[in-house]
Amino acid sequence: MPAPFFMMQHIRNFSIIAHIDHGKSTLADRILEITNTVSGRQITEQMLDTMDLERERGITIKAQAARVLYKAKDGHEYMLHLIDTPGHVDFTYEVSRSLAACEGALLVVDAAQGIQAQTLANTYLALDNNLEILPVLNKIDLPAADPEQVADEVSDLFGIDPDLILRVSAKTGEGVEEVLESIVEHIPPPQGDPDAPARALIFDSVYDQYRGVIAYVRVVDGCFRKGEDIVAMVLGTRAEVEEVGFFSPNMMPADSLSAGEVGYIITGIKTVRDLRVGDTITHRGHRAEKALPGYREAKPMVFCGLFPMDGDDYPTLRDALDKLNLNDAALSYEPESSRALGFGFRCGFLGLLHMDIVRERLEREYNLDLLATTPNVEYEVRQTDGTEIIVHSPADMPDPGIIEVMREPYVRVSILVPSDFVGGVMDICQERRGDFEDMQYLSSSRVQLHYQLPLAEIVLDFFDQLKSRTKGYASLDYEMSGMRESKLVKLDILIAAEPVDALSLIVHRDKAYQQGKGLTEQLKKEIPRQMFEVAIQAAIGRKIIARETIPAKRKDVLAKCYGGDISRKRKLLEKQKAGKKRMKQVGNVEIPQRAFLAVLDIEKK
Amino acid sequence: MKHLYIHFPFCESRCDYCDFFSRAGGLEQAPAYVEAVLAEIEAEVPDSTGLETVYLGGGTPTLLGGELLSEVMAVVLGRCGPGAEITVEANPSTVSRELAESLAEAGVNRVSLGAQSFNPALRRNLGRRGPVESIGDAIAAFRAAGFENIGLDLMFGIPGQDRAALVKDLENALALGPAHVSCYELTVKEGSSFQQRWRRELDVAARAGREFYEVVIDTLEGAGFRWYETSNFARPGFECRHNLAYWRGEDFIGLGAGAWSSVGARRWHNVEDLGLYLKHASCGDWRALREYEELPREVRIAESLMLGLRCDVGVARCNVAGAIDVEQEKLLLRNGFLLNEGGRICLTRQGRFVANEVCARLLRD
Repeated sequence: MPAPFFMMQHIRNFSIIAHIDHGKSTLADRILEITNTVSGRQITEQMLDTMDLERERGITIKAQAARVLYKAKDGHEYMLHLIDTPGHVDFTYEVSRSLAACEGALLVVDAAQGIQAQTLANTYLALDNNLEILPVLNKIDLPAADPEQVADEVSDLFGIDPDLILRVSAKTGEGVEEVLESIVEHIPPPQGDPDAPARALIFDSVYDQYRGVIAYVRVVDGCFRKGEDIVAMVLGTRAEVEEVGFFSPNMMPADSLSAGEVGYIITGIKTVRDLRVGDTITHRGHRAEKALPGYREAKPMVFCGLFPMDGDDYPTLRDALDKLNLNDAALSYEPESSRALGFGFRCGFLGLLHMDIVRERLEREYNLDLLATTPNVEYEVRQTDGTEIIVHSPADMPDPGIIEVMREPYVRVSILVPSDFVGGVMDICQERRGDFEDMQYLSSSRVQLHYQLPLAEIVLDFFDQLKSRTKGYASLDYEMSGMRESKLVKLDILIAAEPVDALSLIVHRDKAYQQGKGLTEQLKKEIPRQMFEVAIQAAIGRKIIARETIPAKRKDVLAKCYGGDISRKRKLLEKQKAGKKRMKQVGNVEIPQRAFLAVLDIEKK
Repeated sequence: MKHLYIHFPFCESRCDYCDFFSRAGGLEQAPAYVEAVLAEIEAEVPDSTGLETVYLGGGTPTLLGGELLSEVMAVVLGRCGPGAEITVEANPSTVSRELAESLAEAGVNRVSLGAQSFNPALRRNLGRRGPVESIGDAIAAFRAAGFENIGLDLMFGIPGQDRAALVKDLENALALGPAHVSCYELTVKEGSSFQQRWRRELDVAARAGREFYEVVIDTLEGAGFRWYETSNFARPGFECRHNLAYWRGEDFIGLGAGAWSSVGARRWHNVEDLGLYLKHASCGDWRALREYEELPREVRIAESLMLGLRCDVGVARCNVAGAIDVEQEKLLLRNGFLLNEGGRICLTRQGRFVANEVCARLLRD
């Protein structure tokens, strides 16, 4: 499809904001189909989610884009750019950049379930970026759909006339044409100066092993062509444009990319760290004066140790992290050595989902068997000599004697929940050291609660707990609200009198005893009987605060072993041996992988 | 190849806990079976073999009666070397003076009697038929026929068995003056109906397993028996040479339906199906009823270690060195689970209670 010249007034750039399973990808698929961008036969479910992991989990991790041409009822042909964004709180910054590349957003809400916390947060983010919001109630064909109630909710929240709220079924295609019309009618065309020095916003950046980094861009001013010298204004990275093009949704080379258009720029740069989301690309010779606003460095919020189960896999893990990092600038990692687990990496992630994704990709794409330690957050410590240090791992925590003050990150949490479950939500926030801020009724039956909570408490299984205490109805979003002073201590675990560094935790002093007791009890359950009696102790400094004992294995013999038993018994033994390989040998004691996350289980009680 | 096993898959009735290959009744097939076994001997065991041990096991070989067993023995004897140990397994309820005499006459010189328990209630729980008195009667019959090398099989961990009942069983067994006692912890097949029926009792037994095992060992050692293998005890000089061959990793041939053989790098077993066995035997088609397994050298070494450690004398370290994880060995030695005496490694008493665990640790990847 050669790109005809489009006046900016005939371009519309929009993204879709939706909760998981509210039908974002189906709607996108339908739009591609109706505009004949992709023929029916080429449609695979969720066209825009390209990673297996994305399709399996029904999530979008990387932003995607597609250009479609749509002949509207006013007789004009329009160039629509759809930017599909990740919807998860871990990727809020990426979402904000994708939104900054658009003038409007479709707010897709499941007509049976109503708006969810992350959708609400992303919608506010869109409003902050001055986007026109077009609410779309999806799944109106479902028997449980209640479009009127949900429309009221959306209208109350954003002050939108309920009559303007579209009702569609992305599954059947009903109402999707009207969505396209509404985009043309209500979303403003891009602003920008085609003749000014060129500027393009990078809203995502992807590494391809053959082509190098592919920058997903929205051109704001001017025009980019092949062969031009460019520079990333914040990081200063220089390169020559090897190719420009747009997404259809596959990459289609084009002669140029002009103001208002969305597409890609390939430069042969080898890592996404040099061409980061939020940076501005301009011409080196005819440089723009100011970079586009909003650039931020991705900052890891959650940390954990990743160790290969088999020590020989350490180099493979290092290579795998290096490769993943080419495509994931937010991932940080540095070598870490644990007495218990050997060599590994202390890795930093944007959040829990990001951590899960990285771990799963490492295991899947690089065939690694990994042990992850309990996640923690970043702490600031002021020592008695006045120096400040940052602690990313319990192992780095200084001696309590030289700690003057510790600070931990807090987040402002927004929870949307049916009013019946408010009590349960308050309980869990209370248990997690939360400070109540406010509560609002979104409708007669739905409530939004705000709490200030330590991020450390969210990191430990908060979301699962929230879900289980609200029968799955609660949705959660949070944003950083700064560092706060806290009385924190390091809780050590000793197994057979040996401290196991990988089991240490940083906990609030008031919860230390309870956590220590819970953890030793849980470890007693997780660690199988050994040949010796094994003591499990929790300690703060030298003070033991809890103890459990695993009695020795008493008897483990095969009673009979004659001619016909030998092969079978050998296989049993091999199985027993293999079971051991899945455990970590710490001193004399074999500890199953699961035990290193035991702290997550005590939170469940 | 110096060791021969022959399997007789016939029983009066099946005991509920047993998962050996055997069937209840069907004795009318016994003559044909014996004929087939004899043909297999002819095919597999050359005249000049000079067997050191022969074991007629089952099932219940004695169910076949003196005449058929003598037929088998006639052919077997010709292949034995001087001083061969020839054992027959016997169920006491099948033993008569006549049978004992005919076995002695046929050249059998060792018997292994399945007593299991002397307690009528526990015998019932096992589904074991025959009166308790038959055990003593059987021993008397074999003694009268001139047998000196008589072994008794006992069991612990029987549903409903408490410590006192176990002690009583051991006393009863010792009172009969056996030369050899095997005492097995009852092993129940996962998911079997026996397991389902006795779930609670088996849980109780499993918890008392170590204690019961120690009672068995202490009692028998106290009575002058040597704890020469995990579950086997003998007066000095009466260890079962046939079974020792298994634990020493020696070659053996097994004949009859379901029997296993292991020669060099090859192991095989005959099909566990009486009808198929008879069918293939009748046309001498032995290969068709076997399943083969190749044993690479490292597997054989690992097995030697696993089997050797069952015995009190352990195994010569130089023969199994390749299978040993040296770091683990050091740990196990240091912590008192393993001993190295004059180049042989063996389990300490402590180690023998957790032999699987020790073995799994000791074996290298």
